[in-house]
Amino acid sequence: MTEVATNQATPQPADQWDRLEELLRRAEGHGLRSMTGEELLEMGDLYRRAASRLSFAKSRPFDAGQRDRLNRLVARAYGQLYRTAYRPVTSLRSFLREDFPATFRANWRFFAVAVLVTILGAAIGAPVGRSEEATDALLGPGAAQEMHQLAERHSQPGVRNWLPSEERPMASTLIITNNIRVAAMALALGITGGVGTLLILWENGVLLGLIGTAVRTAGVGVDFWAFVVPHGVIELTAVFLAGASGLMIGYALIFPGALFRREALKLAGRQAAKLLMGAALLLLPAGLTEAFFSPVPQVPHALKFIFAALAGTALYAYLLTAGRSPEAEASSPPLPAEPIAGWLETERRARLGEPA
Amino acid sequence: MTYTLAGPGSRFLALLLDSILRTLATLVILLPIVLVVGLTGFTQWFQGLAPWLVVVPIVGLVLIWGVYFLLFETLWNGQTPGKRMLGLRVLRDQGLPVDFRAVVLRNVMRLVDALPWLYAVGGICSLLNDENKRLGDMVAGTIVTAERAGELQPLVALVASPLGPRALEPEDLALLDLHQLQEEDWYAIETYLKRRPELDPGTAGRLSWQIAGPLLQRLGLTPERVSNRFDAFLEELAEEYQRREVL
Repeated sequence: MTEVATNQATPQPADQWDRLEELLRRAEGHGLRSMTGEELLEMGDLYRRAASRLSFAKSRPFDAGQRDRLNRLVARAYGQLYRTAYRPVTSLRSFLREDFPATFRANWRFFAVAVLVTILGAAIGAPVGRSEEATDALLGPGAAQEMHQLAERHSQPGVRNWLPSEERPMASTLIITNNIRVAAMALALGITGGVGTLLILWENGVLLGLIGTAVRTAGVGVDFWAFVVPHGVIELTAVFLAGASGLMIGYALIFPGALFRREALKLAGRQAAKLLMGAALLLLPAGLTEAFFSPVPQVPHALKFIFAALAGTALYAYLLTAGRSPEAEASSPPLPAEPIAGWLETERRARLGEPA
Repeated sequence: MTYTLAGPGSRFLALLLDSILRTLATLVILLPIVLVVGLTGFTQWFQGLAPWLVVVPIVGLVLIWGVYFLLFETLWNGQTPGKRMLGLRVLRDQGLPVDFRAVVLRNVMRLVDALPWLYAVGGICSLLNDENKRLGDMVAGTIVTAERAGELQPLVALVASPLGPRALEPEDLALLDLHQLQEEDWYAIETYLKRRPELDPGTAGRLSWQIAGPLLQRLGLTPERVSNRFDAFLEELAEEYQRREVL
C-alpha cells in the first residue's frame, strides 16, 4: 500500500512513464485481476497521458528514443485496457444459447450446399459399390477389398461387439480428436476457394454410399446402421457445419463483392469460426456415443434407432429455434449474424453513405 | 501507435522453440508409460489396469499436440512459450488483444499453413504481403508483433550524466530562443549524442564544433560564451529542449 501513498503526490513527468511501465508489467504478468481498482484507474489515466504525449511527441523532432518508448507503452496499455473480459463460462453459455444457432440459421445456404454435396457423393457411391472395379477406380486400389472386410466384420456372430469395453475410453478420445481434426481441416481448406472443403464433403458422401452398398450386399445392413446412426446423426451434422464454415471462407474469397478480398475473408472467417466451434462441441457427445453406446451389443437395434431419431430431432430443433424466444431476444442485444450477402450490402451502403 | 511486425525469421524460431517444448513434454508423458509397459508387459498394463488410466496420457498428448497453441495464445494474451522467449505477441489487426475466435482461426489454419512441410505455404504467404501474414493471420485478422525489436534508447539516458564542466548555466539556457533552431538542427543534435559513445574524442570534438557552430550563430552566441565546450553545449541544448517540452 506504500505504492498508493506515493502515487498521491503528482508524479514527476519523467517518473510517470516508469510507473506506467511497472503497472503494465504487473498487468501482463499477473493479469488485471491482481490489481486494485485504484491502480487500474491510475493505469487508465497514465495511458491517456502517454497517448496525448505521444501524439505531441510525433510532431516534434526530439527524440526518437522517447517517442519509441511512449509508443510501446501506449500500445501495451491499449492492449490491456481495451481487452474484452475473459469470461469463458458466460461466453460459452451465450454462444450456445444465441450465437451458434443464430449463425447457423444465418448461413443455412452454406450448410445446405454441404448436405447436397454429401448426398450427391452418396448417390454416386452407392451404385459404384456394386462393382469392385468401379470402387477401386473411384477410391484407389484396395478400396473394394476394405469395403468387403468391413462388411465381413459385421456379418460374423458377436461382431457387433467389435469395440471391447476396455478399449472404449481410448477409442472415444481418439474418435473425438480425429473428428475435430477433420472438421478443422474442412474449415482450413476453405482457403482453396472452397474446393478442398467440397472434396472432403464429396469423399465423405461417396464413402457413405459405398459402405451402404457393401453392408447391404453382405446382408448386415441393419446391424451396421444400428451401430452407425446413434452417433452418426450428430457427427454428420458436425461435418456439415464444418463444411459450411469452409464454404463460407471459400465464398468470401471468390465473391468478396464490394469489400477488399482481405476484409471479406476476415469477416467470413469470424462467422465460420462459430460454426466450427459449434461443430467441435457437438463432436464431444458424438464421440462418447460412438464408443460407449453405438457398439454395445446388449442394446437392441430398435433402441439405437430411437436414440438416433430423438438426438437428431433435438439437435435440429435446437439449431433451428434456439435463441428465438422473445425473452432471450429481449435479454440480449441482437447479434450480428447476417449472411455474407448481408454484410456486403451493409458495407456497400456504409461506403456510399446510404442508410441501412 | 505503430507496431513492429515480427519477421519470418523470428516467427520460425518461435515455432521451433514451441516444437522443442512440445516434444520434450511428450517425452515426459511417454517415458513413464514405456517404463511401466517394459516392466509389466503391455497387455497386463492395458487390460489389467483401469482402462480409464489410458485416457490420462492420451488427453495429455492431445493437449500438447492439439490445443497447445489455442491454450497458450488464449491464456497468455497472444503468446506461447516460444513467442514469449522471443518477445513476440499476436494482436488483432486493430491492435486489440486476440480473442478466442481469432486464436481458433489462426491455429486451425495451421493445417494448411504447415503444408507441405515446414510451414512452406505460410512462410511463402508471409513473404508476399507487407504485414508478414500467413494464411491463418489473414483469416483471423491478426498480426504478430515484435515487442522488443529495435528498442531505441531515450535521449535522456544519453545526456543524464554530463561528461565535463557545463557550457552554459541553466539560467542562461532558459533565456535562449530555441525557436531559432530548425527541425534538422535538433535531428543533428540527437544523432550526434547517440553516436557519441562510439566516436573517438578527436572526431567527437570536431563533429560537435561543426554542429554547434551554426547553432551558436543563430542563437546569437559566440564560441567563447560557451567556453568552447561544444559537446557540453549540445547536451545542454537537448536537456533544455526536453525540459521546456515537459512543462
